[in-house]
Amino acid sequence: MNFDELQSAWHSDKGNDVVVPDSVTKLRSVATPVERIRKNMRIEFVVMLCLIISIPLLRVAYKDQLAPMPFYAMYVALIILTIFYYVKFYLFYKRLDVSSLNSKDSLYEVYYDIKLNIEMYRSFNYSVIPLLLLYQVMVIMSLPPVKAAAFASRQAYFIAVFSIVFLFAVVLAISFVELWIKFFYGNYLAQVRKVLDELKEE
Amino acid sequence: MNTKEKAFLELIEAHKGIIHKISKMYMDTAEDQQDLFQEIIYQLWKSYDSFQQQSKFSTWMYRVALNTAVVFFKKETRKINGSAAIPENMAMEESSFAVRELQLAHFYKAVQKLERIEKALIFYHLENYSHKEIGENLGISEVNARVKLSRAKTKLKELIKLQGYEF
Repeated sequence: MNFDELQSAWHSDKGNDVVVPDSVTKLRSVATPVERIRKNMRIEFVVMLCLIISIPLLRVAYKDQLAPMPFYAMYVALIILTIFYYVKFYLFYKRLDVSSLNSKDSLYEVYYDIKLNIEMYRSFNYSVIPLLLLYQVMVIMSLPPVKAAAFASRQAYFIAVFSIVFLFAVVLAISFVELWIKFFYGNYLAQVRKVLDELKEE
Repeated sequence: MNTKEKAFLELIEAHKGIIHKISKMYMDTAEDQQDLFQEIIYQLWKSYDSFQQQSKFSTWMYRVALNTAVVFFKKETRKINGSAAIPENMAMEESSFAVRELQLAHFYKAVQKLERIEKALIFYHLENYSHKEIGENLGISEVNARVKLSRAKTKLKELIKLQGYEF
């Protein structure tokens, strides 16, 4: 076989037995990086919504122990942050829907848009993590044995242990966010990057 | 079904063979090929409004179809069965139809191992596109298209030879 013969065989393959769908309205994109990112964003939105709704339940569960002022101040801050970032994420989500990946230019456009939004997503998480950890501190501090230890004679020891645990929780949360970004968004970004790299001039 | 959708599906029906061939170049299992085939139709429909009648439908379609294939993912949950085997009885037959089928079977098996852009280059080459046209469609220079195509052809040739078929 040579390329001429291959070309001739190629043109003889008409694919007459292939069936075209009756309608296009029922077709949905399933396996492009853009669609996977959009799907993950939808899941995240629901998770975030559940989190926002569940936080006031803490106040119900620990009615007398949690100070209302800091609790609600942090809650308002959390809501403002979430609205600010999610409006941007929503615009990105809509942009992805109309992006077509039909040319090298549109691939670049989508690539940098995803990259920018990953950074925005990272900064959102880094803003929210301290608030969520502070909520945990509030709950832990409201537990009677912890409360007692905080005011006991070995206060310095308590502060040291508490600081180490808090630091560990921060590191753990940041690592989790980074892994989450890599798994849910970074891999798809890398896929687009790989295609763009293959197109580079030599 | 409205007129626009009807006209679109008629165009797809006329060009379904080429979409199917692209699907076979990029995916190795029948299920993945079917998914890619539908994805390409979906992406073509999505950007159908952007199709200006200034260019031929096939030219526009090739571009959208290949760019979709280039970024298409296999379903993660699906079992990997390995690339399609070449039917043994086909190798024994000597009719021109059987020879062509055998050549295509070797081609599709080998092309699976190329990089995504290399597949696109081979596709345009088989469709008789010049280096300049290939470059324009992929958004790269004519020289780059020539270099990359030459490399892709050599690679493909080696892969077919490794499968034990004379090339």
